[in-house]
Amino acid sequence: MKVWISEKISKPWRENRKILASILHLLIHVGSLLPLLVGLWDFWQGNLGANPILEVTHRSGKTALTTLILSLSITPLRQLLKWNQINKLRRPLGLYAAFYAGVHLSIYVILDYGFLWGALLANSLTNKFILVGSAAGTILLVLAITSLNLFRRKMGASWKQLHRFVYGAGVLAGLHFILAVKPGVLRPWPYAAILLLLLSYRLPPVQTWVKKTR
Amino acid sequence: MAKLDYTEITPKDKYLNRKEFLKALGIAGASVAVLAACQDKPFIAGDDLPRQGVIPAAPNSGGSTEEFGNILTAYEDVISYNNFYEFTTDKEGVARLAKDFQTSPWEIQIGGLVENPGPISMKEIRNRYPTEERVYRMRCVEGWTMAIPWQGFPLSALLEDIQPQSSAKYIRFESIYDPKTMPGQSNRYFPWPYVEGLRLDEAYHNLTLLATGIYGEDLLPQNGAPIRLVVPWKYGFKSIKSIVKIDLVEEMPVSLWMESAPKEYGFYANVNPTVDHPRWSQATERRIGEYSRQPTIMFNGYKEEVGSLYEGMDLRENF
Ligand code: HEM
Repeated sequence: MKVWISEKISKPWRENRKILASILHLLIHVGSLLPLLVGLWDFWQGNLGANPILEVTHRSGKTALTTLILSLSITPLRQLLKWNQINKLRRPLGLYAAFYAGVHLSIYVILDYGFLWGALLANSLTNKFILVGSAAGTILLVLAITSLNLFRRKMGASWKQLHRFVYGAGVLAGLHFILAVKPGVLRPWPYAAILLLLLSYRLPPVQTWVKKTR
Repeated sequence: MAKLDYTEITPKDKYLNRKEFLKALGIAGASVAVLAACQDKPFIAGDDLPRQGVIPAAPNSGGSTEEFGNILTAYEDVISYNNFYEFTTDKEGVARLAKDFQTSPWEIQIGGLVENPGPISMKEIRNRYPTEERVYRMRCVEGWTMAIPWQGFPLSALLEDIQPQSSAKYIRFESIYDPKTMPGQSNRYFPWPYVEGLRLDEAYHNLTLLATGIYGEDLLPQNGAPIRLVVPWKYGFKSIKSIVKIDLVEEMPVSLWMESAPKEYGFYANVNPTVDHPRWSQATERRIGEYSRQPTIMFNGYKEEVGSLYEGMDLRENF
């Protein structure tokens, strides 16, 4: 993608973009590790309510989805705010999303089901939301592994192709949330709306428009 | 169930303090789960199956377990973890939103195919029907379960007074509709008010309770004050809360859940490990206060009492 620097950018913005991006980088690490620490603390303290396993399942799921959404918002922000320095935030956010998806899955397999593989398999085959979540999780895992520079170098152009699957992960993760709750429960919809917005941004007509108005 | 021994119930303050309980279970729970994993069959449903991984009562619980080894659910959990969508879909948010809910004065309108229709006030109900204590398991369709000592009286006692006509086949209950005090009722997705129903023989069954209290105290709003249904062999959503209307009818009532998600919720909603909900496998359940899962028991363990009501019925069809 061509790098563009517009004359129209105001001076303070031009000067401070870089430092702001670094601050944001730090905030992302702190903000992404916090849910894990708070979760462990609450677990230890017995502050997770009447159904602690479901509570940590929900928390880890929402953190995975939130970090995934944030990683998907980097490119639009970069383009719309002419802020190339934040591009480096994409990888840590994507990795945190994969990490929390892993925590979420481990909670389900180890704490919730205590490695009862028969029951786990039966659930994956019959419960649509588990199937959809597993698909999203698999994508995130593959993308996390291939985000290593080693793969990036080796794969060349196909790396970019492969990492477009993150949009699929976004769709599947949103769908997983919607299917996981009872109909009429509105919790997933704010997430779904933001996802829809971020994914629509990638549609060719929208991209053409963005490039024209730069 | 045979005979429940209610004398074992200990005073509320003796029940487990959840924090200590969780800490004690942190290790025990995990090892039980692993042990259970080594068993071949715990998830093939069968009501004669012994409950796996029963965790012994903690020393300070006073041995207050019920017949399946369930420790009575901590009072704190019963009053803080509630599905009551009239307030909110967030189980842990109900208690706060329901805090100021007015439950007195209160009356139930009795109508439909009965000889003695009309309103009956809570005061009359309290005077007329002495309550007894019953420990029932309460199994939520979401896969968790509690064991709760209820105070209540059999619905059959009320039915004998209001006298259903011979054409009555079903009983239909309605919860209060008051969007001003129940914020969840502004969610237009649901066809408020909450409606539930039973077949008349289910309604007359001695296990079917109209409850007014738990743990020796009046019901709190989040638990369905001042009066609610308890049908222990069915998923929790059948046990309608804060009842204001009871009608005897000829046609099978359509419940709120049947109307909002007909593929997910049927009229019968009997606890059944072999019939899965599209979202939750029903083969296992978790007791609130424990970590490991247990196999679900047919009719929530009340097969001996209620199995005959459904003889010859296809329970997969009539879910
Ligand atoms: C890897 C396979 C996955 C499994 C087995 C799985 C399993 C689950 C389970 C059991 C629940 C709880 C449902 C309930 O309330 O009963 C859940 C909820 C959820 N999961 Fe997953 N999940 C997976 C992947 C993911 C991924 C990749 C994401 C996001 C990136 C995600 C996000 C969520 C969210 C947001 C919720 C709902 C939280 C709430 O209700 O507050 N899950 N998942």
